[in-house]
Amino acid sequence: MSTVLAEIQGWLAFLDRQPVLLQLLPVGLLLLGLLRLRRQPVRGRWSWLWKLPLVVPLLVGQGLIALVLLALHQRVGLVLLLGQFSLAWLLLRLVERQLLARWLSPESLQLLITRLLRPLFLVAVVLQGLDALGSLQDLAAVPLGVWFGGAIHLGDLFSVLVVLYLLLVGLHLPAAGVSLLAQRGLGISEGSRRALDQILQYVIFSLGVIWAMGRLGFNQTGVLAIAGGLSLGLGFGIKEVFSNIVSGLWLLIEGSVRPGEVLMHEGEACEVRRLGPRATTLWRSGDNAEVVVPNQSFFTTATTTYTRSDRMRRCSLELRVDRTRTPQQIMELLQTIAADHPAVLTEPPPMARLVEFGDERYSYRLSFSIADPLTAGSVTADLRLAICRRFGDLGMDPPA
Amino acid sequence: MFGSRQCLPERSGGFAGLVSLPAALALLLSLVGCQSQRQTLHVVVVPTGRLEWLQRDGNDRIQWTPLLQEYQRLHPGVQLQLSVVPESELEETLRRDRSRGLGPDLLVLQASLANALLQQGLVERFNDQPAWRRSQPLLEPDEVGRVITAAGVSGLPVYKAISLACFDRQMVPRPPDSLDELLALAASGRPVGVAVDPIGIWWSAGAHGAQDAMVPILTGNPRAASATASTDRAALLGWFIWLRQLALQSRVDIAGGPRELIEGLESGRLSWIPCFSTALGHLERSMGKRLGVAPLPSGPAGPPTPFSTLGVMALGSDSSPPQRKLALDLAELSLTPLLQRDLTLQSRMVLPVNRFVPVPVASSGRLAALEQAQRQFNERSRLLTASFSADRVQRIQPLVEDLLWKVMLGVMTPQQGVDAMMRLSPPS
Repeated sequence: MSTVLAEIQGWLAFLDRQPVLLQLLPVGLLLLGLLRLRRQPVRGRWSWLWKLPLVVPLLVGQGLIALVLLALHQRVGLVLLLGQFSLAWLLLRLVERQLLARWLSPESLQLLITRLLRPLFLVAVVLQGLDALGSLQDLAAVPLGVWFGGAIHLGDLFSVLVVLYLLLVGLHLPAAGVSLLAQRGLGISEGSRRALDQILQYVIFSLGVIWAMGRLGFNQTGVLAIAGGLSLGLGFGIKEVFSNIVSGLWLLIEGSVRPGEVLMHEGEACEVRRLGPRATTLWRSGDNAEVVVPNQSFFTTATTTYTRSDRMRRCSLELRVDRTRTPQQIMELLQTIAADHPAVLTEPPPMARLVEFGDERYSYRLSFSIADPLTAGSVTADLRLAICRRFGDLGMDPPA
Repeated sequence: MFGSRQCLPERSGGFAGLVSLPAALALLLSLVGCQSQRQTLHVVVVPTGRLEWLQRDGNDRIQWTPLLQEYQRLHPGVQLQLSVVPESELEETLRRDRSRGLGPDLLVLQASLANALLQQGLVERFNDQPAWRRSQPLLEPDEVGRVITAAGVSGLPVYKAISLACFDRQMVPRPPDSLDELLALAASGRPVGVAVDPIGIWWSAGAHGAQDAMVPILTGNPRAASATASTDRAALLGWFIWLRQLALQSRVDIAGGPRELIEGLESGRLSWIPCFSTALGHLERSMGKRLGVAPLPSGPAGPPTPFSTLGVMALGSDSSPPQRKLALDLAELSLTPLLQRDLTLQSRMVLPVNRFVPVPVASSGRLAALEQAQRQFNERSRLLTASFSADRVQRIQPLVEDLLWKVMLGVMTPQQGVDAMMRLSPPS
């Protein structure tokens, strides 16, 4: 590490050189001046200038500085390099706003920008800057010591981190593509497709980790030492974490909880949004909340699912109706009301039953089936409203 | 301290809110001020062409260790930053860095390369410096002549490297002294490797008296006054006939370049190869005591003409005056007799250029071989001791190598080869 610091310190020596200062000072002053100007109130006829991204006047200013330096027979390479960075930033923003924004949803665009495009831009700028200041190859060859039998160099570590990061953030798209192909080719269900998507991401990332260890020159003894340390850690501190990871993998393979499935959690129907390595994210339609549940809890407790074999859900509602009409009439009326609702399935048909006698009212249960388990609450509420309305039309008291 | 009071309430957020103009200027000036107390010298080392791959084991840095240690003892406040730039990327790198003002302070490279860079204005003339006047008397006139160009002196000579024979002692107890012995070695079943580059085969031109014909073709310099086209043709024909005979030997491997030869010797696939002295450190680390070193074999026309390069220190063109002074100090220090001797003894790959430093040949067979090869070069390759530019060599070398390939593989007859080679001669 001291070599890296010495290398960085050595770059400051360039500030002793007049040509370097002549290039850096005007660009630095331009940037600071623009930043200050931006804070001033907007002026009338020049207000459009304030609406431009900062990088546009910066780029123009850099071009003017380069022209002036050229006219004075001075070096301009650094100004042009900084200009390249500004131009690349401008192009990136144009691509983000004009091109990608048309194709991607705001959430996907935000993820793509913050997790992939801008980090990649930053890395590219830093590498270009390092290459300009010194030899990138020499910097890559800086030794960082011997880890697990492998001599680690800065370049190796950097490339491994970049590849693992890209795998982490960029695997989603290819894995989704492969799983979609598998779904179309093999005819697997939506839940299985999502499971395959997740498993592919895990497998490819694991291969990336193995590649990284090989690239860094870790020997098997070193890896075994890590495994030994982990097993000791598992016994104490990270038992729960490991248990959740294993549970997540097992749930994926077994297919009992898969992304897209609907299951009951704490009495509410929830859809599985994501089965992560440690926890599962559920979406509760009632209040549009996301619930994060440790994987282990699905593994150790019984889970009610409506989508294991199909997505149909059988719902019911109970009501008490006065004895002015015969039970037969009431049951037929309830079945008709349910059948009229567009979300209620015709097969199996709605079924009303007399469940209890009372002094003034009899109790009935109306059972019906729906295709989307998550709409059970809204369909039930609709049916209650329809029953009240129909009873009112027939001059009957509303049910209790 | 540097921010104005009026600005303070406006610092509501953002980068501009954190950094005011005076503060930024003060930061920059303080960085410059801090740096002036501790200097850094950027030195670029250019490995010998086609041996660039040896840099992976620090081959080109090891030999400079005594010099750098002594320099840091004398200038404890100076940090030395060494970087290695391959010959193939040097010109582009220097042009790019020069346009930014970020070029190195000092370059360590071959004289022919420095000559070419001086002509392109990518390094500074050395003869403007007082250090040159002080150093010139320490150098042999031959070495001085190799760095003098029409544009001035391209650099200060610091070491010499030479081609010679490397062999596996376990397979070759006694190295061949003559070309006949070399052929006999191959005929006895011990594989011999050659290549058609300057290190790999051109040494044998001198053994056939063809060096005076080849040097003008390579360097573009005029041929010797005594040489005529007919004598050149005759010498080239003798050389090409021998090359063809060599290629007909089943145990002679014609390699693609020095790397293939060196790896062949390391692995035991080859028993004898021509090699360049800067590769000896690498070979010694991989072969240990198996490595034998000897001068190249002589031929019917006398000793061979090994290929020699002169390592020089050239001045970068972007240094500030203090950095230039530090660079000159380092260059001048490298000619100190003690450091010249250390350079030779510790590396055992290069020879000193300070004419007052004798090579300690009595205690080292390898240094004796180096010294003898250098003597052969000085005696037999007089024309190569004149200044020439790497540009011509880089342009003509692929053509010559292609021609030699064709002669050796029988695509051209030796006579056709001679005709083609003579067409590459510079106009008289």
